[in-house]
Amino acid sequence: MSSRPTPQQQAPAPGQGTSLAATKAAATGLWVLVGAGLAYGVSQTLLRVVQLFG
Amino acid sequence: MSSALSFLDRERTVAPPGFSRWSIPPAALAVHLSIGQVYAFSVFNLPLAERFGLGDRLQPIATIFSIAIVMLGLAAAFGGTWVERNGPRKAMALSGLCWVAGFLIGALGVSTGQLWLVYLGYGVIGGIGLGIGYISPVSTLIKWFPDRPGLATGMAIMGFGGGALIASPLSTTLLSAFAADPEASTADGIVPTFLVLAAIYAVMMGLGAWVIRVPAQGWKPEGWEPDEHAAPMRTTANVSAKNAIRTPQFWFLWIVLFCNVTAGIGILQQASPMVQDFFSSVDAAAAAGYVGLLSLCNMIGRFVWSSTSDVIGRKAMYTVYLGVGAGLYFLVVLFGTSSVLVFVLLTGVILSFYGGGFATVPAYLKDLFGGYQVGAIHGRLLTAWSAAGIAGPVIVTQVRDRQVAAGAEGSDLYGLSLSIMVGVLVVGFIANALVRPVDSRFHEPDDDDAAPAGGEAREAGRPGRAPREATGAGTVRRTPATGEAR
Repeated sequence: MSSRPTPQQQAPAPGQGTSLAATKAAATGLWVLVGAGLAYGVSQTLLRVVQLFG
Repeated sequence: MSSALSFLDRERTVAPPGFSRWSIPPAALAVHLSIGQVYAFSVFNLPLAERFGLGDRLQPIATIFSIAIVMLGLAAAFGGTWVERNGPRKAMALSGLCWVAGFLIGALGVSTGQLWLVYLGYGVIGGIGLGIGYISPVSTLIKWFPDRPGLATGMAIMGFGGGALIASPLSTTLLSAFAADPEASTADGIVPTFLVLAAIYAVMMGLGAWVIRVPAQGWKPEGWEPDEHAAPMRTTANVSAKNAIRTPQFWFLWIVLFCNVTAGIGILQQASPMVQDFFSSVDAAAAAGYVGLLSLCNMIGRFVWSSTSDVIGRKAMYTVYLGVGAGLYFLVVLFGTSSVLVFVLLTGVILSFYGGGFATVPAYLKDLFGGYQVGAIHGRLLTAWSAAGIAGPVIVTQVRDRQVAAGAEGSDLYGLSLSIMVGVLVVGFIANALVRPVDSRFHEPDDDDAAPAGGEAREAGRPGRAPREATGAGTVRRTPATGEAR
Protein backbone atom coordinates (compact mmCIF):
# COMPACT_ATOMS: atom_id res chain seq x y z
CA MET A 1 0.00 0.00 0.00
CA SER A 2 1.20 3.49 -0.60
CA SER A 3 0.12 6.83 0.71
CA ARG A 4 -3.24 8.19 -0.29
CA PRO A 5 -2.78 11.82 -1.27
CA THR A 6 -4.92 14.52 0.18
CA PRO A 7 -5.97 17.42 -2.07
CA GLN A 8 -3.09 19.55 -0.78
CA GLN A 9 -0.60 16.90 -1.82
CA GLN A 10 -1.56 16.72 -5.48
CA ALA A 11 1.08 19.19 -6.64
CA PRO A 12 4.54 18.01 -5.65
CA ALA A 13 7.21 20.63 -5.15
CA PRO A 14 9.95 20.97 -7.80
CA GLY A 15 12.62 18.32 -7.28
CA GLN A 16 10.37 16.21 -5.11
CA GLY A 17 10.28 13.43 -7.68
CA THR A 18 14.06 13.14 -7.67
CA SER A 19 14.11 13.15 -3.90
CA LEU A 20 11.42 10.47 -3.77
CA ALA A 21 13.35 8.25 -6.19
CA ALA A 22 16.52 8.67 -4.14
CA THR A 23 14.67 7.82 -0.94
CA LYS A 24 13.16 4.74 -2.55
CA ALA A 25 16.60 3.64 -3.70
CA ALA A 26 18.00 4.18 -0.21
CA ALA A 27 15.12 2.25 1.35
CA THR A 28 15.68 -0.63 -1.06
CA GLY A 29 19.37 -0.57 -0.21
CA LEU A 30 18.51 -0.68 3.47
CA TRP A 31 16.20 -3.67 2.96
CA VAL A 32 19.13 -5.47 1.29
CA LEU A 33 21.58 -4.46 4.03
CA VAL A 34 19.37 -5.41 6.98
CA GLY A 35 18.29 -8.63 5.23
CA ALA A 36 21.89 -9.63 4.57
CA GLY A 37 22.89 -8.71 8.12
CA LEU A 38 20.09 -10.78 9.63
CA ALA A 39 20.88 -13.72 7.34
CA TYR A 40 24.52 -13.54 8.44
CA GLY A 41 23.58 -13.36 12.14
CA VAL A 42 21.05 -16.19 11.97
CA SER A 43 23.36 -18.49 9.99
CA GLN A 44 26.25 -17.87 12.41
CA THR A 45 23.95 -18.60 15.34
CA LEU A 46 22.62 -21.80 13.79
CA LEU A 47 26.20 -22.98 13.30
CA ARG A 48 26.69 -22.64 17.07
CA VAL A 49 23.36 -24.32 17.81
CA VAL A 50 24.49 -27.42 15.92
CA GLN A 51 27.06 -27.98 18.67
CA LEU A 52 24.26 -28.25 21.24
CA PHE A 53 22.71 -31.29 19.58
CA GLY A 54 25.77 -32.41 17.67
CA MET B 1 24.22 26.30 10.78
CA SER B 2 20.66 25.97 11.96
CA SER B 3 19.37 26.19 8.39
CA ALA B 4 21.92 23.58 7.32
CA LEU B 5 20.46 21.24 9.90
CA SER B 6 16.85 22.11 9.14
CA PHE B 7 16.52 18.97 7.01
CA LEU B 8 16.39 17.14 10.33
CA ASP B 9 13.24 18.99 11.38
CA ARG B 10 9.96 17.16 11.66
CA GLU B 11 8.38 19.49 9.10
CA ARG B 12 10.98 18.45 6.52
CA THR B 13 10.25 14.76 7.01
CA VAL B 14 6.61 14.74 5.93
CA ALA B 15 6.22 12.07 3.26
CA PRO B 16 5.53 13.29 -0.29
CA PRO B 17 2.77 11.75 -2.40
CA GLY B 18 3.69 8.29 -3.64
CA PHE B 19 5.91 7.48 -0.70
CA SER B 20 5.60 3.82 0.27
CA ARG B 21 5.14 3.06 3.94
CA TRP B 22 7.24 -0.08 3.42
CA SER B 23 10.27 2.23 3.25
CA ILE B 24 9.88 2.88 6.99
CA PRO B 25 10.55 -0.60 8.49
CA PRO B 26 14.08 -0.92 7.04
CA ALA B 27 14.90 2.57 8.36
CA ALA B 28 13.72 1.54 11.82
CA LEU B 29 15.47 -1.82 11.54
CA ALA B 30 18.73 -0.13 10.57
CA VAL B 31 18.70 1.81 13.83
CA HIS B 32 17.61 -1.11 16.03
CA LEU B 33 20.06 -3.57 14.45
CA SER B 34 22.84 -1.05 15.10
CA ILE B 35 22.05 -0.31 18.75
CA GLY B 36 21.25 -3.99 19.38
CA GLN B 37 25.03 -4.48 19.37
CA VAL B 38 24.95 -3.65 23.06
CA TYR B 39 23.80 -7.20 23.88
CA ALA B 40 26.96 -8.51 22.21
CA PHE B 41 29.29 -6.34 24.25
CA SER B 42 30.38 -9.33 26.34
CA VAL B 43 32.51 -10.36 23.34
CA PHE B 44 34.87 -7.55 24.38
CA ASN B 45 34.97 -8.44 28.09
CA LEU B 46 38.07 -10.64 28.11
CA PRO B 47 40.11 -8.57 25.60
CA LEU B 48 39.26 -5.36 27.49
CA ALA B 49 40.16 -6.90 30.85
CA GLU B 50 43.51 -7.90 29.37
CA ARG B 51 44.06 -4.48 27.76
CA PHE B 52 43.46 -2.72 31.08
CA GLY B 53 45.52 -5.26 33.06
CA LEU B 54 42.61 -6.44 35.19
CA GLY B 55 43.50 -10.12 35.15
CA ASP B 56 40.46 -12.19 36.11
CA ARG B 57 38.52 -9.19 37.43
CA LEU B 58 35.71 -8.66 34.94
CA GLN B 59 33.50 -6.44 37.09
CA PRO B 60 35.11 -3.13 35.97
CA ILE B 61 34.49 -4.17 32.36
CA ALA B 62 30.94 -5.39 33.04
CA THR B 63 30.30 -1.90 34.45
CA ILE B 64 30.56 -0.49 30.90
CA PHE B 65 27.50 -2.52 29.85
CA SER B 66 25.64 -1.66 33.04
CA ILE B 67 26.20 2.08 32.54
CA ALA B 68 24.96 1.80 28.95
CA ILE B 69 21.76 0.01 30.00
CA VAL B 70 21.06 2.48 32.81
CA MET B 71 21.57 5.35 30.38
CA LEU B 72 19.26 3.62 27.91
CA GLY B 73 16.47 3.61 30.47
CA LEU B 74 17.10 7.21 31.55
CA ALA B 75 17.36 8.56 28.00
CA ALA B 76 14.21 6.74 26.92
CA ALA B 77 12.30 7.95 29.97
CA PHE B 78 13.43 11.58 29.88
CA GLY B 79 14.00 11.96 26.13
CA GLY B 80 10.66 10.60 24.97
CA THR B 81 8.88 13.94 24.88
CA TRP B 82 11.82 15.51 23.03
CA VAL B 83 11.66 12.72 20.46
CA GLU B 84 7.93 13.28 19.95
CA ARG B 85 8.43 17.02 19.56
CA ASN B 86 11.39 16.91 17.19
CA GLY B 87 10.43 13.95 15.06
CA PRO B 88 12.10 10.70 14.13
CA ARG B 89 14.81 12.00 11.80
CA LYS B 90 16.37 14.34 14.31
CA ALA B 91 16.05 11.66 17.01
CA MET B 92 17.67 9.00 14.83
CA ALA B 93 20.45 11.41 13.85
CA LEU B 94 21.11 12.24 17.50
CA SER B 95 21.00 8.56 18.39
CA GLY B 96 23.46 7.71 15.62
CA LEU B 97 25.75 10.58 16.62
CA CYS B 98 25.83 9.44 20.25
CA TRP B 99 26.20 5.76 19.36
CA VAL B 100 29.09 6.36 16.95
CA ALA B 101 30.72 8.90 19.27
CA GLY B 102 30.48 6.28 22.02
CA PHE B 103 32.57 3.86 19.98
CA LEU B 104 35.08 6.55 18.96
CA ILE B 105 35.57 7.85 22.52
CA GLY B 106 35.70 4.25 23.73
CA ALA B 107 38.41 3.51 21.17
CA LEU B 108 40.33 6.55 22.41
CA GLY B 109 40.01 5.27 25.96
CA VAL B 110 41.28 1.83 24.99
CA SER B 111 44.20 3.19 22.98
CA THR B 112 45.28 5.54 25.81
CA GLY B 113 44.59 3.05 28.61
CA GLN B 114 41.90 5.27 30.20
CA LEU B 115 39.00 3.08 31.31
CA TRP B 116 36.98 6.11 32.40
CA LEU B 117 36.89 7.27 28.80
CA VAL B 118 35.25 3.95 27.85
CA TYR B 119 32.71 4.46 30.65
CA LEU B 120 32.01 7.97 29.36
CA GLY B 121 32.05 7.06 25.68
CA TYR B 122 30.37 3.69 25.22
CA GLY B 123 28.59 3.76 28.58
CA VAL B 124 27.20 7.28 29.01
CA ILE B 125 27.16 8.81 25.52
CA GLY B 126 26.54 5.54 23.71
CA GLY B 127 23.85 4.69 26.27
CA ILE B 128 22.02 7.94 25.48
CA GLY B 129 22.14 6.91 21.82
CA LEU B 130 20.63 3.56 22.81
CA GLY B 131 17.69 5.10 24.64
CA ILE B 132 16.87 7.70 22.00
CA GLY B 133 17.39 5.21 19.18
CA TYR B 134 15.19 2.57 20.79
CA ILE B 135 12.12 4.80 21.00
CA SER B 136 12.70 7.04 17.96
CA PRO B 137 11.00 4.96 15.24
CA VAL B 138 8.21 3.51 17.38
CA SER B 139 5.52 6.18 17.16
CA THR B 140 6.34 6.81 13.49
CA LEU B 141 5.83 3.14 12.68
CA ILE B 142 2.54 3.13 14.55
CA LYS B 143 1.37 6.14 12.54
CA TRP B 144 2.28 4.45 9.25
CA PHE B 145 0.70 1.13 10.23
CA PRO B 146 -2.47 1.99 12.16
CA ASP B 147 -3.99 -1.20 10.77
CA ARG B 148 -1.10 -3.42 11.94
CA PRO B 149 0.84 -1.66 14.72
CA GLY B 150 1.98 -4.94 16.27
CA LEU B 151 3.59 -6.12 13.05
CA ALA B 152 5.27 -2.76 12.50
CA THR B 153 6.78 -2.36 15.97
CA GLY B 154 7.58 -6.08 16.08
CA MET B 155 9.66 -5.70 12.94
CA ALA B 156 11.68 -2.82 14.38
CA ILE B 157 12.12 -4.18 17.88
CA MET B 158 13.09 -7.54 16.39
CA GLY B 159 16.12 -5.62 15.17
CA PHE B 160 17.22 -4.91 18.71
CA GLY B 161 17.30 -8.67 19.34
CA GLY B 162 18.93 -9.34 15.99
CA GLY B 163 21.65 -6.73 16.46
CA ALA B 164 23.54 -8.96 18.87
CA LEU B 165 23.23 -11.96 16.56
CA ILE B 166 25.09 -9.95 13.92
CA ALA B 167 27.51 -8.04 16.14
CA SER B 168 28.70 -11.03 18.15
CA PRO B 169 30.21 -13.10 15.31
CA LEU B 170 31.22 -9.95 13.41
CA SER B 171 33.12 -8.56 16.40
CA THR B 172 34.83 -11.90 17.04
CA THR B 173 35.91 -12.05 13.40
CA LEU B 174 37.18 -8.45 13.42
CA LEU B 175 39.07 -8.89 16.70
CA SER B 176 40.89 -11.90 15.28
CA ALA B 177 41.52 -10.20 11.94
CA PHE B 178 43.10 -7.12 13.53
CA ALA B 179 45.07 -8.89 16.26
CA ALA B 180 48.76 -9.48 15.57
CA ASP B 181 48.56 -12.94 17.13
CA PRO B 182 44.90 -13.89 17.59
CA GLU B 183 45.81 -17.23 19.15
CA ALA B 184 47.58 -15.44 21.99
CA SER B 185 45.45 -12.33 22.44
CA THR B 186 42.89 -10.21 20.62
CA ALA B 187 43.31 -7.16 22.88
CA ASP B 188 45.24 -5.24 20.23
CA GLY B 189 42.31 -5.69 17.87
CA ILE B 190 39.83 -3.77 20.04
CA VAL B 191 40.53 -0.25 18.73
CA PRO B 192 40.30 -1.05 15.00
CA THR B 193 37.23 -3.22 15.68
CA PHE B 194 35.54 -0.30 17.47
CA LEU B 195 36.42 1.98 14.56
CA VAL B 196 35.02 -0.41 11.94
CA LEU B 197 31.83 -0.93 13.94
CA ALA B 198 31.49 2.85 14.32
CA ALA B 199 31.79 3.28 10.54
CA ILE B 200 29.22 0.55 9.83
CA TYR B 201 26.74 1.97 12.34
CA ALA B 202 27.28 5.54 11.05
CA VAL B 203 26.27 4.42 7.55
CA MET B 204 23.34 2.30 8.72
CA MET B 205 21.89 4.87 11.12
CA GLY B 206 22.58 7.74 8.72
CA LEU B 207 20.67 5.98 5.95
CA GLY B 208 17.88 5.17 8.38
CA ALA B 209 17.59 8.82 9.41
CA TRP B 210 17.56 9.91 5.78
CA VAL B 211 14.86 7.47 4.72
CA ILE B 212 12.51 7.94 7.69
CA ARG B 213 9.37 10.00 7.02
CA VAL B 214 6.25 10.88 8.95
CA PRO B 215 2.90 10.52 7.18
CA ALA B 216 1.19 13.63 5.84
CA GLN B 217 -1.91 14.96 7.51
CA GLY B 218 -4.92 12.96 6.54
CA TRP B 219 -2.93 9.96 5.37
CA LYS B 220 -4.20 6.49 6.03
CA PRO B 221 -3.59 3.13 4.39
CA GLU B 222 -5.47 2.71 1.15
CA GLY B 223 -8.76 0.94 1.64
CA TRP B 224 -8.46 0.96 5.42
CA GLU B 225 -11.10 2.50 7.61
CA PRO B 226 -10.75 2.52 11.37
CA ASP B 227 -13.31 0.35 13.13
CA GLU B 228 -14.56 2.13 16.20
CA HIS B 229 -16.61 -0.72 17.56
CA ALA B 230 -14.62 -3.87 16.88
CA ALA B 231 -12.17 -3.67 19.78
CA PRO B 232 -13.23 -2.19 23.10
CA MET B 233 -9.62 -2.08 24.35
CA ARG B 234 -8.60 0.24 21.51
CA THR B 235 -9.19 3.87 22.29
CA THR B 236 -10.37 6.45 19.83
CA ALA B 237 -8.91 9.22 21.97
CA ASN B 238 -5.43 10.45 22.87
CA VAL B 239 -3.67 10.79 26.20
CA SER B 240 -0.53 12.89 26.75
CA ALA B 241 2.57 11.34 28.29
CA LYS B 242 2.17 13.62 31.29
CA ASN B 243 -1.32 12.33 31.94
CA ALA B 244 -0.59 8.73 31.02
CA ILE B 245 1.64 8.20 34.03
CA ARG B 246 -1.26 9.32 36.23
CA THR B 247 -3.45 6.48 35.05
CA PRO B 248 -3.62 3.05 36.70
CA GLN B 249 -3.38 1.51 33.22
CA PHE B 250 0.18 2.81 32.82
CA TRP B 251 1.26 1.28 36.10
CA PHE B 252 -0.51 -2.02 35.43
CA LEU B 253 1.38 -2.17 32.17
CA TRP B 254 4.58 -1.23 34.00
CA ILE B 255 4.05 -4.26 36.26
CA VAL B 256 3.19 -6.45 33.26
CA LEU B 257 6.40 -5.49 31.44
CA PHE B 258 8.47 -5.73 34.62
CA CYS B 259 7.21 -9.26 35.36
CA ASN B 260 7.59 -10.50 31.78
CA VAL B 261 11.12 -9.12 31.48
CA THR B 262 12.17 -10.30 34.96
CA ALA B 263 11.15 -13.86 34.12
CA GLY B 264 12.88 -13.89 30.74
CA ILE B 265 16.05 -12.10 31.70
CA GLY B 266 16.53 -14.46 34.64
CA ILE B 267 16.97 -17.35 32.19
CA LEU B 268 18.78 -15.34 29.55
CA GLN B 269 21.44 -14.06 31.91
CA GLN B 270 22.11 -17.50 33.44
CA ALA B 271 21.52 -19.58 30.29
CA SER B 272 25.00 -20.99 29.88
CA PRO B 273 25.60 -22.21 33.46
CA MET B 274 21.96 -23.29 33.79
CA VAL B 275 21.97 -25.70 30.85
CA GLN B 276 25.31 -27.11 32.02
CA ASP B 277 23.93 -27.59 35.54
CA PHE B 278 20.81 -29.30 34.19
CA PHE B 279 22.75 -31.65 31.88
CA SER B 280 26.25 -32.83 32.67
CA SER B 281 26.63 -33.88 29.02
CA VAL B 282 26.48 -30.23 27.85
CA ASP B 283 29.90 -28.57 27.70
CA ALA B 284 30.75 -24.86 27.36
CA ALA B 285 30.75 -24.90 23.55
CA ALA B 286 27.34 -26.57 23.40
CA ALA B 287 26.08 -24.14 26.04
CA ALA B 288 27.16 -21.27 23.77
CA GLY B 289 24.96 -22.85 21.09
CA TYR B 290 22.09 -22.90 23.57
CA VAL B 291 22.62 -19.18 24.30
CA GLY B 292 22.56 -18.48 20.57
CA LEU B 293 19.34 -20.44 20.17
CA LEU B 294 17.70 -18.47 22.99
CA SER B 295 18.74 -15.22 21.28
CA LEU B 296 17.18 -16.47 18.07
CA CYS B 297 13.92 -17.35 19.88
CA ASN B 298 14.01 -13.92 21.53
CA MET B 299 14.34 -12.24 18.14
CA ILE B 300 11.74 -14.34 16.33
CA GLY B 301 9.26 -13.95 19.19
CA ARG B 302 9.41 -10.19 18.81
CA PHE B 303 8.12 -10.36 15.28
CA VAL B 304 5.82 -13.39 15.41
CA TRP B 305 3.99 -12.71 18.68
CA SER B 306 3.74 -8.96 18.15
CA SER B 307 2.18 -9.59 14.71
CA THR B 308 -0.15 -12.15 16.27
CA SER B 309 -1.33 -9.48 18.72
CA ASP B 310 -2.82 -7.56 15.75
CA VAL B 311 -5.19 -10.48 15.31
CA ILE B 312 -6.01 -11.62 18.84
CA GLY B 313 -5.56 -8.29 20.64
CA ARG B 314 -2.89 -6.98 22.96
CA LYS B 315 -4.47 -7.98 26.26
CA ALA B 316 -5.04 -11.55 25.07
CA MET B 317 -1.46 -11.73 23.83
CA TYR B 318 -0.10 -10.74 27.24
CA THR B 319 -2.43 -13.26 28.83
CA VAL B 320 -0.59 -15.86 26.75
CA TYR B 321 2.87 -14.47 27.56
CA LEU B 322 2.19 -14.44 31.28
CA GLY B 323 -0.27 -17.32 31.74
CA VAL B 324 1.25 -19.83 29.34
CA GLY B 325 4.70 -18.55 30.33
CA ALA B 326 4.02 -19.39 33.99
CA GLY B 327 2.83 -22.84 32.93
CA LEU B 328 5.99 -23.38 30.85
CA TYR B 329 8.20 -22.35 33.77
CA PHE B 330 6.34 -24.88 35.93
CA LEU B 331 6.94 -27.55 33.28
CA VAL B 332 10.67 -26.73 33.32
CA VAL B 333 10.67 -27.35 37.08
CA LEU B 334 8.79 -30.66 36.66
CA PHE B 335 10.20 -32.07 33.42
CA GLY B 336 13.22 -29.88 32.56
CA THR B 337 15.71 -32.63 33.28
CA SER B 338 13.93 -35.26 31.15
CA SER B 339 15.89 -34.39 28.00
CA VAL B 340 17.92 -31.59 26.43
CA LEU B 341 15.30 -31.26 23.71
CA VAL B 342 12.43 -30.74 26.17
CA PHE B 343 14.49 -28.21 28.15
CA VAL B 344 15.47 -26.29 25.02
CA LEU B 345 11.92 -26.28 23.66
CA LEU B 346 10.38 -25.02 26.90
CA THR B 347 12.95 -22.30 27.54
CA GLY B 348 12.98 -21.35 23.86
CA VAL B 349 9.25 -20.62 23.93
CA ILE B 350 9.66 -18.73 27.23
CA LEU B 351 12.34 -16.53 25.60
CA SER B 352 10.12 -15.95 22.57
CA PHE B 353 7.48 -14.62 24.99
CA TYR B 354 10.14 -12.41 26.58
CA GLY B 355 10.94 -10.87 23.20
CA GLY B 356 7.28 -10.69 22.27
CA GLY B 357 6.56 -8.72 25.44
CA PHE B 358 9.02 -6.02 24.40
CA ALA B 359 7.68 -5.79 20.87
CA THR B 360 3.97 -5.81 21.70
CA VAL B 361 4.04 -3.13 24.37
CA PRO B 362 4.16 -0.08 22.04
CA ALA B 363 1.00 -1.30 20.29
CA TYR B 364 -0.63 -1.98 23.67
CA LEU B 365 0.20 1.60 24.71
CA LYS B 366 -1.19 2.90 21.45
CA ASP B 367 -4.41 0.97 21.99
CA LEU B 368 -4.81 2.42 25.50
CA PHE B 369 -3.44 5.95 25.13
CA GLY B 370 -3.73 6.68 21.39
CA GLY B 371 -0.90 7.63 19.08
CA TYR B 372 -0.48 11.25 20.21
CA GLN B 373 2.58 10.78 22.46
CA VAL B 374 2.98 7.03 22.36
CA GLY B 375 6.76 7.29 21.91
CA ALA B 376 7.15 9.37 25.06
CA ILE B 377 4.86 7.06 27.04
CA HIS B 378 6.83 4.08 25.76
CA GLY B 379 10.04 5.71 26.92
CA ARG B 380 8.67 6.16 30.43
CA LEU B 381 7.46 2.56 30.52
CA LEU B 382 10.94 1.28 29.69
CA THR B 383 12.01 2.08 33.26
CA ALA B 384 10.35 -1.28 33.98
CA TRP B 385 13.03 -2.87 31.79
CA SER B 386 15.81 -1.23 33.81
CA ALA B 387 14.24 -2.42 37.08
CA ALA B 388 13.74 -5.94 35.73
CA GLY B 389 17.31 -5.98 34.48
CA ILE B 390 18.34 -5.81 38.11
CA ALA B 391 15.60 -7.99 39.63
CA GLY B 392 15.72 -10.97 37.23
CA PRO B 393 19.41 -11.82 37.47
CA VAL B 394 19.45 -11.09 41.23
CA ILE B 395 16.62 -13.59 41.85
CA VAL B 396 18.27 -16.37 39.84
CA THR B 397 21.87 -15.83 40.95
CA GLN B 398 21.14 -15.14 44.64
CA VAL B 399 18.90 -18.18 44.97
CA ARG B 400 21.41 -20.33 43.08
CA ASP B 401 24.26 -19.20 45.34
CA ARG B 402 22.20 -20.02 48.44
CA GLN B 403 21.35 -23.44 47.03
CA VAL B 404 25.04 -24.05 46.37
CA ALA B 405 25.81 -23.07 49.98
CA ALA B 406 23.11 -25.50 51.12
CA GLY B 407 24.81 -28.34 49.22
CA ALA B 408 22.38 -28.58 46.28
CA GLU B 409 23.66 -29.33 42.79
CA GLY B 410 22.58 -29.80 39.18
CA SER B 411 19.01 -28.80 38.34
CA ASP B 412 18.16 -28.54 42.08
CA LEU B 413 20.05 -25.23 42.05
CA TYR B 414 17.26 -23.66 40.01
CA GLY B 415 14.03 -25.24 41.30
CA LEU B 416 13.30 -22.45 43.77
CA SER B 417 14.22 -19.56 41.48
CA LEU B 418 12.14 -20.99 38.63
CA SER B 419 9.21 -21.41 41.04
CA ILE B 420 9.64 -17.74 42.07
CA MET B 421 9.45 -16.82 38.37
CA VAL B 422 6.12 -18.65 38.15
CA GLY B 423 4.90 -16.37 40.96
CA VAL B 424 6.31 -13.28 39.23
CA LEU B 425 4.46 -14.18 36.04
CA VAL B 426 1.22 -14.76 37.96
CA VAL B 427 1.53 -11.23 39.40
CA GLY B 428 1.96 -9.91 35.87
CA PHE B 429 -1.01 -11.99 34.72
CA ILE B 430 -3.22 -10.37 37.38
CA ALA B 431 -1.97 -6.87 36.50
CA ASN B 432 -2.79 -7.51 32.84
CA ALA B 433 -6.25 -8.77 33.77
CA LEU B 434 -6.87 -5.48 35.60
CA VAL B 435 -6.14 -3.33 32.52
CA ARG B 436 -9.27 -1.48 31.40
CA PRO B 437 -9.80 1.38 28.95
CA VAL B 438 -8.45 4.73 30.18
CA ASP B 439 -10.97 7.05 31.83
CA SER B 440 -12.06 9.85 29.49
CA ARG B 441 -10.99 12.56 31.97
CA PHE B 442 -7.39 11.82 30.92
CA HIS B 443 -8.13 12.29 27.21
CA GLU B 444 -6.82 15.22 25.21
CA PRO B 445 -9.54 17.50 23.83
CA ASP B 446 -10.64 16.61 20.34
CA ASP B 447 -11.33 19.45 17.90
CA ASP B 448 -13.78 17.25 16.10
CA ASP B 449 -15.56 16.19 19.23
CA ALA B 450 -19.00 17.72 18.85
CA ALA B 451 -20.35 16.64 22.18
CA PRO B 452 -20.27 19.78 24.27
CA ALA B 453 -21.87 18.33 27.35
CA GLY B 454 -19.48 15.42 27.55
CA GLY B 455 -16.63 17.65 26.53
CA GLU B 456 -17.31 20.09 29.33
CA ALA B 457 -17.55 17.33 31.84
CA ARG B 458 -14.24 15.92 30.74
CA GLU B 459 -12.59 19.33 30.65
CA ALA B 460 -13.64 20.03 34.21
CA GLY B 461 -12.24 16.77 35.46
CA ARG B 462 -9.06 16.70 33.40
CA PRO B 463 -5.98 16.39 35.61
CA GLY B 464 -3.22 18.91 34.91
CA ARG B 465 -3.49 18.86 31.14
CA ALA B 466 -0.64 20.63 29.42
CA PRO B 467 -1.45 23.17 26.72
CA ARG B 468 -1.52 21.37 23.37
CA GLU B 469 1.01 23.62 21.69
CA ALA B 470 3.52 23.05 24.44
CA THR B 471 3.46 19.30 23.94
CA GLY B 472 3.81 19.77 20.19
CA ALA B 473 3.97 16.66 18.12
CA GLY B 474 3.98 18.58 14.86
CA THR B 475 2.05 17.96 11.74
CA VAL B 476 1.08 14.37 12.34
CA ARG B 477 -0.31 15.05 15.75
CA ARG B 478 -3.68 13.86 16.77
CA THR B 479 -6.65 12.42 15.07
CA PRO B 480 -8.44 11.94 12.80
CA ALA B 481 -6.13 13.92 10.54
CA THR B 482 -3.16 11.77 11.53
CA GLY B 483 -4.70 8.54 10.40
CA GLU B 484 -4.75 7.03 13.87
CA ALA B 485 -6.81 3.94 14.49
CA ARG B 486 -10.09 5.42 15.48
